[in-house]
Amino acid sequence: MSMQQDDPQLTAKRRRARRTALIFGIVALAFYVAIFCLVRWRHGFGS
Amino acid sequence: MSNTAVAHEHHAEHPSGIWRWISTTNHKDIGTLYLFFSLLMFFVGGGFAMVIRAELFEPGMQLVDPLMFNEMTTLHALVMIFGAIMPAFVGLANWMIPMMIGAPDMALPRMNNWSFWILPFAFLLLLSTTLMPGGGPAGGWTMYPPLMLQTGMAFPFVIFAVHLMGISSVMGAINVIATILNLRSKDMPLMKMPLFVWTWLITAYLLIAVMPVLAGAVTMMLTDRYFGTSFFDAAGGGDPVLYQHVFWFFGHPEVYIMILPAFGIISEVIATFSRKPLFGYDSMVYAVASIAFLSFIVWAHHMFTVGMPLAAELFFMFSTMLIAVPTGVKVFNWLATMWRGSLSFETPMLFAIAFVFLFTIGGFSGVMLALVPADYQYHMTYFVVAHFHYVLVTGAAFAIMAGVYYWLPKWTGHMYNETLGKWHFWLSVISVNVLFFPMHFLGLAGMPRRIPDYPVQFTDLNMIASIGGFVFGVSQLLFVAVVILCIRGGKKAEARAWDGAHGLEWTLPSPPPYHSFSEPPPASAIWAHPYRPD
Repeated sequence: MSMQQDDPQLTAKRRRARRTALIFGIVALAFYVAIFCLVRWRHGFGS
Repeated sequence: MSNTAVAHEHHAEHPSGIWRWISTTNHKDIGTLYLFFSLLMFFVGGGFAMVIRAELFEPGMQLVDPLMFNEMTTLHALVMIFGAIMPAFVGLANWMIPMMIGAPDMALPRMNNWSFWILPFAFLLLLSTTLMPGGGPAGGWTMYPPLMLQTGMAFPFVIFAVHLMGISSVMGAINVIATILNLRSKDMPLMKMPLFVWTWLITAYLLIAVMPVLAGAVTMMLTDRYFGTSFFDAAGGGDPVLYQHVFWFFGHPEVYIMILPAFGIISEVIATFSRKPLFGYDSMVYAVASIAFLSFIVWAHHMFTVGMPLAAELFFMFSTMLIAVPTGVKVFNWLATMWRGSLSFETPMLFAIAFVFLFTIGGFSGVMLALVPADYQYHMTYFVVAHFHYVLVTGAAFAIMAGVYYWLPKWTGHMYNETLGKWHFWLSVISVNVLFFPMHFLGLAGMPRRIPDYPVQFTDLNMIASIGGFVFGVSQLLFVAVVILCIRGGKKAEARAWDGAHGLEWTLPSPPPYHSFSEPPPASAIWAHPYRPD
């Protein structure tokens, strides 16, 4: 990518960035599941 | 040649031709792809708008049948929101955020490539539905059941397209957050970031919070139709109004997703052409954060007439009116930045000033709509159409144009043609008001939205609006001409293309190298400001 990529400081930054991305990815999936649970709790799948 | 120089040359290489664009992980390339894609979608969505305005030019059915008309309104909204406005902001974020914070690229470059390349397939899928038996989606962009469940074969394709758009947006948002939080120059604290970066950081949080909600809502609708569930089917014990609540829990923050980055652009442009530091930087950041927070607790103002307890109506009315406070702070700060500034009126500044005036008109009509008793009259009329077009066209779209004119010299290395730019501005700003201002009166007189035909007393104002629409549509061709001419050549742009500009992006040459900030920028570059002695 770039010269700065070879910099160990940047490598560490990128590792932290991947962890941040993973956390937010899990949060997004959790919201997706949560909205099903919310609707299920509010009104159910049917009578 | 030193090892680092060899490495640098190696990294600067990239494939040529189409493969460069398909396989690129470079933030500038991906930003360019997003921007051209959004321009294409702007014209596709604009084409649908032209059909709508041509049909409404006079009473009676002229050009299209009612189903086709409803498809046009639905697709116009979906294409403009998810295809034009949002990708344009993501394109600007891709180009500018790494350069503004001193990062060499986005934090997750391969995911960045994915985020973009999902979009053309999503929109091919969405637009292909118009050719399917039963036609494309015609229930409005809100896709309310049970109306949406009447869609023909197109239904699952539309749902899948919406999922793809959502996945693309969420991946883009994750990338923005990871980049800003982790790759920012160590000498740039959060409260020193450019406003455009701040607004995008907050927008990215909004996207992650609400896009999964939309995806969940449309998935439930899909299972209602194909797998025997009854989430929103009253016959099975479900509740269609619950869909409206879930949709607008996504939908209202979505409106702010489309306007917060616009605030960031306008803050950059006004400060530059006022040749002053932005007035009230801290309050700008807090105002954006407040608007983002409030966007989660106002959703039911879109559905006052659906039937809600009085306490709920009052809560949503007051919380909505509260948004005027941080928005007022922002407008005040923009005006205060201009106050006694050394102003000049290049095209980006003209668009920014028009934004401040016209977005405020949209904001005022929004406060009118927030009033429950008044909304009972305005709801589902052209007054609402006028309101959100002032917010999204003279707001979001004008800010994107301001941003493109502002950063074009940086991207291309050439100054754009100022005369053509000013022609584009004046034609746009006049025609857009001819287009949307009469819609307020149509709405107040009772003309419902989403109808292909109307009583004869609405004819004059509809004709005026349609003429404004056609002129606005044609004037956007000037914008394309300016962009193409600027890419092909023109006066050489300096690194700091505008003398009032400040920020790291202006320390790079114009155009910037393929890989910028391979070395972290010095702290002095971050803190320097041409019009603020430190």
